[in-house]
Amino acid sequence: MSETIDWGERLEMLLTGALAVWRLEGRVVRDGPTLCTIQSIGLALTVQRVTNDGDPYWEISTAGSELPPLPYAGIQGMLRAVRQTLGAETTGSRLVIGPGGNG
Amino acid sequence: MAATPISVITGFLGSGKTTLLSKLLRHPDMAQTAVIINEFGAVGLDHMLVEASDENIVQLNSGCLCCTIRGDLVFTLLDLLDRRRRGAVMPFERIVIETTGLADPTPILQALMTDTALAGAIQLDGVVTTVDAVNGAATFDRHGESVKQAAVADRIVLTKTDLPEADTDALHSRLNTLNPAAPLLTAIQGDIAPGRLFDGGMYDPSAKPADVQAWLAAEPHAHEHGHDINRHSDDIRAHSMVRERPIHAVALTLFLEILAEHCGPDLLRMKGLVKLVESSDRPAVIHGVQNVFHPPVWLDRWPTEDRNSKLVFITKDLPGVWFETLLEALDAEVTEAHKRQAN
Repeated sequence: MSETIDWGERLEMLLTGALAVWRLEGRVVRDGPTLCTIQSIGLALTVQRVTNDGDPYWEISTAGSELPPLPYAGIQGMLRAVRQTLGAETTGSRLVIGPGGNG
Repeated sequence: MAATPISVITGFLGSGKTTLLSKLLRHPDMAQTAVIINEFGAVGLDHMLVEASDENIVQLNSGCLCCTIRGDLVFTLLDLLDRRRRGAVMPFERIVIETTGLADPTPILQALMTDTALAGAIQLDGVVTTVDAVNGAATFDRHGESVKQAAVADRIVLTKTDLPEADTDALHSRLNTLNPAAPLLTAIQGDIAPGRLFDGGMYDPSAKPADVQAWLAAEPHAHEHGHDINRHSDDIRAHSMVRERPIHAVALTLFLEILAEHCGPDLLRMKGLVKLVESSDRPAVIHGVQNVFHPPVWLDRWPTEDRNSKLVFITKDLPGVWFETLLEALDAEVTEAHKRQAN
């Protein structure tokens, strides 16, 4: 595995695909090595992977909002927050693992 | 007692399900088979067309399995298993469910995979879908149910290929695009060896991994509908992914959780043979229907020299490349966390 992960490109692809999965029109623009902006449904969301001292995390901010950027520890939480902020309809549900199997 | 394998035979109205089942049940290898036939309407007919021991045939004709009588299916299965235990029916070693021609197989699979009362007693063997070589393409164009039936199949059986009107070349191409991992088989007048349809070993580590090898043989690329060949079934897509690097178990779990949450019913089916960092010599077979997944089955060894992870997704208009991006990102995130912990 490459030691240096290009999170900007990866994030752009991840968010672009997510918009399609959520059936939302919009576009994702990479604004820096770890920063992307989503423009959809009249909102502009900035998603950034923050790698200051300590563990990296994701930060989401909404243009024009007075709220401070909100942090998320992982991709799972970040994606959920972006979807909720954009108001995308939730069609999925929690993962269910059936009983049985050989462990 | 070992779990009883259970197979689902589906296919659109008139596609040859009953003919196939009737012929199969005459085969000596199918002698110890219990059959559940689901029919629409108050008066069932198909069960009369299937020649087998009557006591081992159960009709469910109060509705469609996929819609209204999933509870009935579970009850019927439990009753069958109990009657076998008490010696009230001929011993059987396999169960076959024939759905109605209009059934969506996914809720049936979910019921079989999630019911705790059935856990350990049955083991899903796979989905066999019949497709009529004469009318199949037109049926795909007109009836979304038939597309879904083919899309979630583990094996597809082309029927009526002996008729002059059959157009197998075009249908082969369409089915390969729709569901590249499912072997395409042919049965004229239902004539096919049971071993080609059942005991695929997908979810049974002790059985021959025929289907696993079929996945390995599938070309790793996306089959995006929307072009001419599938213009009328344009919301079903198949995507195959091959990955050389092993995947962290945590990343795989997060991946499945995100798929369940964000894709939900648009993820019709997913199958995979996965190389995990924590168990690279024993691949895990994973299998999901929408948000419901079978517990991973660990194979004793890799079925071939090819030790790459392989995942196949059948979706309703989801961008296949997103699955690869997501899994790659999650694994990178977990890898980074492990490195930080190690330092």
